[in-house]
Amino acid sequence: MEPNTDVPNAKSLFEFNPQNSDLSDFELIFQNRKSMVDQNSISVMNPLWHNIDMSSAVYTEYFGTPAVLANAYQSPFEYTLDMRNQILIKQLSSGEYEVTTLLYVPDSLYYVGKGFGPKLFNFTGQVLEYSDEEEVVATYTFYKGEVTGTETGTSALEPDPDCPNFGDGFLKDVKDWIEGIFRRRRRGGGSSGGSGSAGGSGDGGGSPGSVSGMGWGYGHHGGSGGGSEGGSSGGGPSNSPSCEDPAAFWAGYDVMVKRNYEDALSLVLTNFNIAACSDPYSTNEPCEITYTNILCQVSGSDCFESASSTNDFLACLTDILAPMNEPPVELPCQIAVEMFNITYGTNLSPFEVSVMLGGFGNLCGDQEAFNERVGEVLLLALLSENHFCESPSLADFQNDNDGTYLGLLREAIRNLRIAGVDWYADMVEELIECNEFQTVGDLRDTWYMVKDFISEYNNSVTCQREQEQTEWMMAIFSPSNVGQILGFAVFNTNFSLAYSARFRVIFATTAARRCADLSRGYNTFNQFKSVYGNAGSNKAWHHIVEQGQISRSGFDPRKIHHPENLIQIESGFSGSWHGRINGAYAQNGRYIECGGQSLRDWLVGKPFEVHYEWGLKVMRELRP
Amino acid sequence: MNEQIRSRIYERIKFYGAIHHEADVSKIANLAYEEMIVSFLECVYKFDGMDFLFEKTRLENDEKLKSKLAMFLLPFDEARSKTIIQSLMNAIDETTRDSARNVISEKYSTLSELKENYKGFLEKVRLKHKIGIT
Repeated sequence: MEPNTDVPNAKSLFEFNPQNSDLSDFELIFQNRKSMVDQNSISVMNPLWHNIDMSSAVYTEYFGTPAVLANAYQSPFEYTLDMRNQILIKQLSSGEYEVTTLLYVPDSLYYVGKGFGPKLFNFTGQVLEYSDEEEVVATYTFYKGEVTGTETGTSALEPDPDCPNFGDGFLKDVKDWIEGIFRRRRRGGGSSGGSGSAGGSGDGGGSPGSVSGMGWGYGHHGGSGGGSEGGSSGGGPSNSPSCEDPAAFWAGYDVMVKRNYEDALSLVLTNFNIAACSDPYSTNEPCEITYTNILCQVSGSDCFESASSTNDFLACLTDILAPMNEPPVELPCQIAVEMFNITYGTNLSPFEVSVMLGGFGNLCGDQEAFNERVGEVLLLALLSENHFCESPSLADFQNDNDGTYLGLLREAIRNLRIAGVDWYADMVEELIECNEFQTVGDLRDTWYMVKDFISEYNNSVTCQREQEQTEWMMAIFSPSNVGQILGFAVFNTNFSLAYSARFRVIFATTAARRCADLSRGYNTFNQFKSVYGNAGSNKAWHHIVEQGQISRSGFDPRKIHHPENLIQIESGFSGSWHGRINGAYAQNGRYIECGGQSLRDWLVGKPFEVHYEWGLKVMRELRP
Repeated sequence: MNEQIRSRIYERIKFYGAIHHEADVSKIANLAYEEMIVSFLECVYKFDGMDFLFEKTRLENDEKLKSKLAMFLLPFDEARSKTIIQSLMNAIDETTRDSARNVISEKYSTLSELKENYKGFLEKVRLKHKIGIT
């Protein structure tokens, strides 16, 4: 099998950073990704391979959950840190799966008109449906990877309340959760541009789509907000004729000006606790300040003449908006939020809390439940957004004389423990405490590894149902996800020499502990394959600790046929990775530690973690 | 005379050593490995080549060959062999470097255990090929 030259090498993938890279690079890499929808053409150890979140699919198929969410990670929008391709999967009694796309709203004007639109992927990465014309909620039915039925519903920006997919119960919760995440991400990401098409869903009078088309950063609430705002804005002051028609107004400005304005406006509204119409929490509150109203005020000032950056707009908007907030609007849940702040020493505004929670719901009346829920969400926010949201360069780590990044790593370990991911926290702690953890490169790479894990973890765990936690964990740490760490251990070329060896030992120890959870293992290899499927063409499932050691070293078969011990790698042709690994195990004297014996013979009787460590070592040595 | 033969044998050791490194297919690799050891033992026993081999190994540029020969020499002179292995702790090749560090730090077995292992292993090959001690 010829190597896929389209696949960027592992190092470049690790180093690829959407924040610091040229967008054309990003697009190039995305085009590469698009060309690789055939998963069999990608080396399984290439971390790119793991970007499809198979765990949810595996979970649905094999654990029989009624409904799950899957991230279509093949989308380029993964890199925008926004939730675009959430898919709700429901297994029907007939054995078919009902798949509903939940949200598709681009957050960056860069993609508008470039063919990046809503897509639905199946779990092999094949694009099932594609539309860049409108944001839709569509229901697909597919069976064994093929679409067997499609039904296009109403716009995602204004979900039909009667839609059975969004009724009460679990699906309603999921929908609410998505909305909450979406709002939080939009706000936290600061990228508030929206697509023009998204604006067409306003349902009220006035100027349809005026809000969502401008992308205020409050997610799909813009749809309904646009309508109501349009209605009230008719009577508002109008210093500039075109400000009543924001689409036309903004057509005269560079997109960056609009973006800076929107970012600044979001900040001012937050800081002054100004409740503007179409804010997520203001649905039932008297609404006197509208976005069009604000736009008209600002356009009538000299803001647009003097302001170019977000900070310029910030100063300008503060002057205009502060007087509008008299008397201050009393926000819903204000008292509950203040009580939370006093109890936990935080300084959150009701707006922030509302955005984090995705709406207050009935929480405000029960302070205890409120505190619990906000604390839970805050923890996830801490994990995902506060500490690991930046993408520092090597120079940042070199200049980190006060140990900030190491401190962040320690904080992440604490938070991971609180979140219940002890095994990973233990492993990272052992890594950063070991003597070999010395160089700036070690710190940087470990920091990025933890960052990636937290990101992956949050994507999965945020939606978990408490009662399903254990099963979710099983799905989250399926072979494809564990493969990420494995890929890191095998392909990383930036670690210092000593740390690299130590990393293998620590990861092997961690993996051995996890393999000791026999409930996840299988008695025979065939049983494993009946659940996880065949490895694919030109691939084979590779046992990191060899199968033969069941009889030779007396290992429990369930430890050997365990998801943590099996990985798909290239096989079945001359010189394949799998073939070379097997050859290396049988070769006498290849490794001087073995006293002239073959590695296979020498390992007999040694502990499982030593087998695992050597498995990693040989894979690394012979990596394609 | 012996000097010439020793040099030729060393070339033979290098030749089979190179095959052994490159061959991940077990049979070819294992045959080459045995040929290498037979040549090594002949040089040591028949042509009094221990000092010669120590010197050659010390100066050898091929890190993988150097590490293997250093281990073969371990049963003959532990101190000199250890010095050579120590010099490989900064080898360019990751596997060689890692192995050298493991041996010196006695990660999997002590140096004396390893010495005994190689001693037994070389003795087995010597008897199999009936290489006499002169």
